[in-house]
Amino acid sequence: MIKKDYLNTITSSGQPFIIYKSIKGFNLFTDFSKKITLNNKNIKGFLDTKFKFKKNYKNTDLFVGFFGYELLNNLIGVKLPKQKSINFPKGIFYKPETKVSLKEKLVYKSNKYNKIAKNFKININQTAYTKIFNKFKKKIRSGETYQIKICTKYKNKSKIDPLDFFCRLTKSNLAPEAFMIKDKNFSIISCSPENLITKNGLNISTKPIAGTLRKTSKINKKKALTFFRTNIKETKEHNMIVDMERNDLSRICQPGTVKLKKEKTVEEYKDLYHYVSLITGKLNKGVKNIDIIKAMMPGGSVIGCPKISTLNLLNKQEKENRNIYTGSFGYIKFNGDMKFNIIIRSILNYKNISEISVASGVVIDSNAKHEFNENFIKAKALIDLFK
Amino acid sequence: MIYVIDHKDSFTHNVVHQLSLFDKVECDDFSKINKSKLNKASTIVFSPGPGSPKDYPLSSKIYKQFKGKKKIIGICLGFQQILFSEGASIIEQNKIYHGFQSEVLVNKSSKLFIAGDKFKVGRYHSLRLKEPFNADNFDITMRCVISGAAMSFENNVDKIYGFQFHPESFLTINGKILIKKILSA
Repeated sequence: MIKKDYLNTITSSGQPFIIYKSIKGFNLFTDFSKKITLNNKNIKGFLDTKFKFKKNYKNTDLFVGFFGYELLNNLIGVKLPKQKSINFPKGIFYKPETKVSLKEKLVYKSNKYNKIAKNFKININQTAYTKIFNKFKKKIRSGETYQIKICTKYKNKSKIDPLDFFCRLTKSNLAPEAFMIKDKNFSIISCSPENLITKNGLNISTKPIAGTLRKTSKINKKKALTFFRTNIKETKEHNMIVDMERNDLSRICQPGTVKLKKEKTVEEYKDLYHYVSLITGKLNKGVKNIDIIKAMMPGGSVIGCPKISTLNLLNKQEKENRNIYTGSFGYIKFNGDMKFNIIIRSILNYKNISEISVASGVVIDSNAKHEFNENFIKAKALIDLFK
Repeated sequence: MIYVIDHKDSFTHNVVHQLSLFDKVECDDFSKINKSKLNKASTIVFSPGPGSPKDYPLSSKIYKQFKGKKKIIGICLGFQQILFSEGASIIEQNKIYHGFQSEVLVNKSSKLFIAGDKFKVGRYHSLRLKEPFNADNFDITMRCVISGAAMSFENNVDKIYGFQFHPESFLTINGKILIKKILSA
């Protein structure tokens, strides 16, 4: 029986823990017996490990953690130029010894004093953004990229209680891939809606999102669908992502098994509607988890298309390391099954600096002002937590 | 065996996946060509990709080397790559089609498809063929219903075929049939 004040107990114990959205509620992982900090050298070994588990497979026989953006680039041979960096770890995975199921309604009362600053600094202002935007539009004209996501970063200095932030965030925005990590010197809080990999045995699926509509009292689900269907720009952006994700699955799946299971449907969340597709496939026998990670990550919908040339364009442009943003969080079970999301809508708090990164897409008919504001709207739900 | 030359695109493996329904397929990056696979292949496919044909001189070289000796197929950039190697100009277009579904019409010069047939196809191209374009035995066989842009060619003498659109896209209806016809031509 989980005690009512379990979350208060765990947070006051100072122990690191992870919470990840499950279908019915949340899973909490703690009592970490191992912590592996990943780098370019040890990642292959980590992913190649044949995990041993006894006859009775336990629900803690897994590694849970994240891959940062840079690590995933390097894994597929894309190098990053020298960037401004806070030297945050490139990836960390934990082996939990305890797993606790929590209900959807998280009960937690923060008794810590949150030293919160309300104001955020943005790393690219609208003028700079427009300049980058126009540069990328030229690249679309010349065919070097078909769609590219410009990332902006909001930062502030404050000491936060991550669990308090996470509980409030899940109340206002219950996302299917929400998670948080609380470790000694950092925390991550995310309401990611996007699943990148769900792998069970030979079955694999990915659920890209491209298209977001803010909810108002006038828009119901049906109207949202009509909006997306009749909006040529949204439709084209989405189509591109669907073909790209089909491609990434085709690299590792048996011929003829990659199927578009759900084509362009609307999912309803508390504050918004998302335009979502579901693509499934059957893995080639003998495909290793590292092959799957390399084929699918970093997730295409948050990068642009085609992946490699677009990554190169982005990396040349961006002056600051993305850290966790557009990396992936999830778990690898010892039987080889995996689940990973795309890290977006997230706050990284490291050395008492909080950073929120957001991105929106440039396609040929995008408008700089609109996309810049879109970035702010995406960040706002998280920025509001600091109030 | 079909040898697909990948121009680092995010759609190449859709092409590979589709071709695999008909034959054994090998695929390598354009900068890491395996000569023995290239020589063994009965068909060479130039994949879609970013940029323009002038960025890929190695692919043009392969095209010229095997023209008339093997069946050659080009998709999107690959379509442009073949035409560029035949002396065509590939230029930027005013209206850009990325992730766009449009209709193409087969014309009388096609030997593989029925003149007057229309197909719904998926397009991802910034550039297009500058016309008029003339090369021996090359015919433009499909055009965009609205803009008239060249959407496919056939060279039935040397067995060279190309699509400006993407037969492997989910936006192309019956793309499999289009590929099958060309593979069995």
